[in-house]
Amino acid sequence: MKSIFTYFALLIVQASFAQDLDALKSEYPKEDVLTLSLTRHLEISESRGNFKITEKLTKKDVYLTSDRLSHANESIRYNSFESIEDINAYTTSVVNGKNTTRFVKDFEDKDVLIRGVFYDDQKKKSFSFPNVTQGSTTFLSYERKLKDPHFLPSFIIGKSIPIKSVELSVSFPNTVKVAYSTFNLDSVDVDFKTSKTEKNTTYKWTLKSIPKVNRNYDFNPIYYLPQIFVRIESVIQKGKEKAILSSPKDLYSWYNSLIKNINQTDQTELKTLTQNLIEGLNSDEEKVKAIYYFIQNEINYIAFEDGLNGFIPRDAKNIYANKYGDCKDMANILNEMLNYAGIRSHLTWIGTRDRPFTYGELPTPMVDNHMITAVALNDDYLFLDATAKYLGFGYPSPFIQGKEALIGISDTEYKIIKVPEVAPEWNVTVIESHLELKDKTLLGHHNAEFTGFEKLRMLHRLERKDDEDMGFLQSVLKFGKKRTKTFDIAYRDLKLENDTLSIEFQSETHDYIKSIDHLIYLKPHLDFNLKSEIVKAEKKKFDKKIDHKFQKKFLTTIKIPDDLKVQSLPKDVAFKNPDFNFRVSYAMSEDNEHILVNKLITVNTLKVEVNKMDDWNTFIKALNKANKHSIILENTKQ
Amino acid sequence: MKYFLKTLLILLVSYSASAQLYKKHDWKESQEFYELTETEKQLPSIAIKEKYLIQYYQPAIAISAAFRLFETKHSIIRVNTDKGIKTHNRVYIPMYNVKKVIDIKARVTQRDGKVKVLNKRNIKELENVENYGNFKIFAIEGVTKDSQLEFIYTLEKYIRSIGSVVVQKDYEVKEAEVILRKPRVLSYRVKEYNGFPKMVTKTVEGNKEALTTTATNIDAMTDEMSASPTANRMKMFYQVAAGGFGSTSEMWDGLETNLIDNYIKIKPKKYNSLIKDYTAFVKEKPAETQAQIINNICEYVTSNFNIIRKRDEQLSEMKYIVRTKQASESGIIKVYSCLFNHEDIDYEFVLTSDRFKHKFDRLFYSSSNLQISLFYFIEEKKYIEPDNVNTRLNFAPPEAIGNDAIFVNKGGRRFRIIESPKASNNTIERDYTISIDIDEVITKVACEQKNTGYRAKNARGAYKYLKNRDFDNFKQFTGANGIEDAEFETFEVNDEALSLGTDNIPVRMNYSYTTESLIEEINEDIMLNFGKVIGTQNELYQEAKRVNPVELNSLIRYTYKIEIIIPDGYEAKGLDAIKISKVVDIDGQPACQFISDYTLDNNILTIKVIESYDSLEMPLQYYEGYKDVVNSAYDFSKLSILLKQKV
Repeated sequence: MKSIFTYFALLIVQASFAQDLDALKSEYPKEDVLTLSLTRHLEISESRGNFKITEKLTKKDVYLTSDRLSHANESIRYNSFESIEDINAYTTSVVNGKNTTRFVKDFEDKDVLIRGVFYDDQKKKSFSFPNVTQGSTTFLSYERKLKDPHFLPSFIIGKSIPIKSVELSVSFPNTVKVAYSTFNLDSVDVDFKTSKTEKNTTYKWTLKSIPKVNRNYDFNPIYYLPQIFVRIESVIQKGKEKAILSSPKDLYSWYNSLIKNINQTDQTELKTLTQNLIEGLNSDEEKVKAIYYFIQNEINYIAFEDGLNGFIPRDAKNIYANKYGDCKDMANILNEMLNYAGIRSHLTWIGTRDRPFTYGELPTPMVDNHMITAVALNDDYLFLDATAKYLGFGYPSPFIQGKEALIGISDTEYKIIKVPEVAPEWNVTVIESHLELKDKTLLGHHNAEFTGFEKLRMLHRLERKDDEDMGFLQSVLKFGKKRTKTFDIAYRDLKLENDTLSIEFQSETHDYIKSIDHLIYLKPHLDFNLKSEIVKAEKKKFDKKIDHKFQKKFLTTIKIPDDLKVQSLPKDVAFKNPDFNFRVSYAMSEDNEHILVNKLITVNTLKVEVNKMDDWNTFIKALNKANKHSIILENTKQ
Repeated sequence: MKYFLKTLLILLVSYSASAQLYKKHDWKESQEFYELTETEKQLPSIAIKEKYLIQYYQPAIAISAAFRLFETKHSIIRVNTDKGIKTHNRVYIPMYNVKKVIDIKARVTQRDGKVKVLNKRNIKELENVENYGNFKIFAIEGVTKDSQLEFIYTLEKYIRSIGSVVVQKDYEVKEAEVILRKPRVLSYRVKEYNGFPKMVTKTVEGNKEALTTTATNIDAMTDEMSASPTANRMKMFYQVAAGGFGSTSEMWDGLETNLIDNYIKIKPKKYNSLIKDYTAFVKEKPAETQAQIINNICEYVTSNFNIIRKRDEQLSEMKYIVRTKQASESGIIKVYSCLFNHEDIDYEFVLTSDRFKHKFDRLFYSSSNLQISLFYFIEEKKYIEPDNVNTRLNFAPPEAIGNDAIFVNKGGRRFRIIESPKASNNTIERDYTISIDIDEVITKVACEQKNTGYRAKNARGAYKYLKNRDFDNFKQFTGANGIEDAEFETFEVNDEALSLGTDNIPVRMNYSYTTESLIEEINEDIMLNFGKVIGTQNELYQEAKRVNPVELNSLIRYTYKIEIIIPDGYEAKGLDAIKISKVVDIDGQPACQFISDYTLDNNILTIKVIESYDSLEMPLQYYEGYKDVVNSAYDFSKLSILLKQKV
């Protein structure tokens, strides 16, 4: 009976699509494929504290052209907390004048490799819709089943094709309290309804005309896509309300339950090691530094995402023996050793800058994706992230700046504290150059020094450097011309414990100057930082992400050859803005034998908002223009 | 493309038994900590030894299908730096063709003699990873700087008759030993490439004879521009067969028969619904020439069939393909053959290698020879690429040109080199007009651009993909690459149809933009960096000692005409640098050149440039000349003239 009903339903659907195809093509003239409808319904049931959660999804795509047949290759992602069941997928199309329906028969389970993650429990069911061509419609339905009430599926609405209409809903027994948080819904047409029966409540959102995911976001798309997160706040059991995820307190309580049994093996070796490391050190800060650098040096970061194990750090002793770990492992061994040293430190959960939410907005595991160690030192907290190899002591990792950290103080106590943004003065590159002209060749002696995140970035690049990469310095410093040869390179203070890294090198650039008549045109700026950072076209509609605040200083001294004199120096130039600015000055030395060129670039923000984008572009253009200025020298012998 | 390999069969009979070689091979109980030279200590890592044991084995009590194949890999690697740790501390063992994992073990030895052995429970499995299949993976435990890691794994594989070992890696290898052993009943044949030492018969562990060799001090392969470092790696290929070998020619015979029977003799009458559907699709399309018909077929297939890149037998079965409009890369070949046969088109099916990975070797049959499939049309002297979703009758793809290949039709086979289009057929031609607004300190650039050959094919493909998705990006990389502040005023694309590539009709792109970045004010004068308009250029200034000979992607010619309108009241200075002439001749023939010159006529400065690469391969001794030509193009892009205010 069911199949007959399906058959008639299909006929009706096909007839209406044939009529609508032309209308859809004119409504979406630039699209090859369109999702006509998407429905996702969450059904939550509960019995004696055990949950059954089922998400039912149906989706209908129509192919407006035949230029993107690869879209017919689909997959359904899932992980070890979920199972995918009752998949039904088919295509309806017109072949040789006849309506045909072809069902997908093969669904393949595949493990998913995620860039940068060594092992992940992500899987997908992979399949291809048959018989797809222009005018075809594909239908997909399946059920996603899970039991753990902490991991409700998220409604994040956005794909590589537009969606005409979306219906999202959740039904739950009245003994269960369900809350929801919405983000970016103001950008779409949304209707929300609640309905309640004696036993159940349903929340339903209807969204119309969802555009495809824009390719021009600089931040993670999650900052922009319409999203609804549903969470189970509590359940009534035996007349009492049992909290699940009603607040950050509940989230912490659950996180804490996952870590309470870690490090149960004999940790004597680690304790002895810790005592050896801190022997003779008097201050807490010295002790923390010694242990922090030890972990950075000894333990290699390897990312694992393995089900619930993705939330539970491995045993500290084993991490030390294996010499590798993921973020929570590194946080754990660091925390454990600090504790052995008598330092007050705590495991700390945090979302990187890829997660835009606060714990108050979204007290669910969606809010964070990283673990670090917070150390109570000098009435303040230091946020130590041992996964960021080469990160200087006292600095948070760049990708957690400005984010809320959930610090686990005790079984019941936690704190949420915002990680500070590191000021540009702490992340500085200084390049001091002494330049000299020999005929048409520019000779240079340079000393570059790096602190903070600038040092971190440089050490990461140095680690990956190939011996054959002769243009390494030019590329990483954005300094010199392609024709510039660098040599006698000396890297100093590479050890993590040093605050400043320095690189001394010589350079030689043939045919550097331009001689016209008796004048010589010399460009004194060898660096080209930020040159390509103009934000253009569609990208201007979205905030620009900046990794860290920084300063770059270039202190250049140019020796004037005996047979030349300065005919003109460029005018001093500056661009003033509190978030991004630069200034360049030119002067003669007191003995008139050298030209002194100073340049200071400051970027004092972690993002450029859309309303400041024109200012940013003006800043970059002005900087690029300033970098091209020439000193004119006159040949005194002519 | 391994499905073409149904030609070598092992005769499954049994004779005398021999021991499994891998059982005799193990790591030393007490691991030696190898000392490195000062030079070696500077490397991120170095392999002390890498050993490859390949054994075709026959048990004592033989039954049908009794041959077994075991492969063992044993590596001892010293790790010196964090980069070295990251390169080696994660191991992925592909499970493709693996019947059984016999053993996997690993350990790390420290300088002080401490040893950490891998906990086998930490070995994880990845199943059916997209395009890669299954893996066993593990992180090596206990690796630190200045430590020595070692791993051995032995896999029993499904029996196969051909294989290869590549011993040159991205890191230096002090010693690589390869042992290939088989029972007497089997024969083998090997071929060494790129300096791999000759394999000789020796007595090996277990006191048995085997074919073996040891290569020492193998340099790390360098990734170089305009080269084929992968194809140039030191390696050996082997074949194993029972009952004596047929000649190489007989092996190609087998392939030829397979191709004719399974991929060429596809009878259209058996697939009426396909023919009917195709006929309806092309009904309104021009079909006066064979080229038009071939392109109609291409258009029909690419807009009606979804190519699914996975191993699945049914995706290469015509009935299934016709019913579902889904095909694998081999299945889609049959669809094309069927339609060509229906239209009575004369064609040859072509198989060759990707020349950047392995040079086709007609003298040694291997799977690496058979990675690219094409159709060749003798009358048109053009190809189609059946697994390319934009394919039309055109030149062979760049990775196949200049390479030997096997061409098969119903009548048999021939070997021939796939010809490369001449540079004159693969061009970018740009006519620029640059005018300067002195008051606004802005430059206006107008350009008429024509692309032919591969450059037309790429532009058409990119335009088709990006026109509705990211046209700004298309405009930027086509017309103003490297000019960050370019603001386009106009941008037109004409003759963008994919089928126009057949007659090499240029795709035309006319555009104009304004930019401030070409100009620098120097007091009352202006420095104009006109060279920048030709876009970001490759350069080879900061190169380590060249290892690989030059091998280009394609022959190509760029011609530029740049007209600069000198503003009233100004004169152009510093023109001498525009005159550049770098030419490399090999055996009296031009191999590559960069020539630029100018004329000044009243207020119009006209600069003409020709840059061309006319030889696909250049021996190492010509590298410096080639580098000069490439760098000249870069230097040109940096050229400026001074527009000096007349006094």
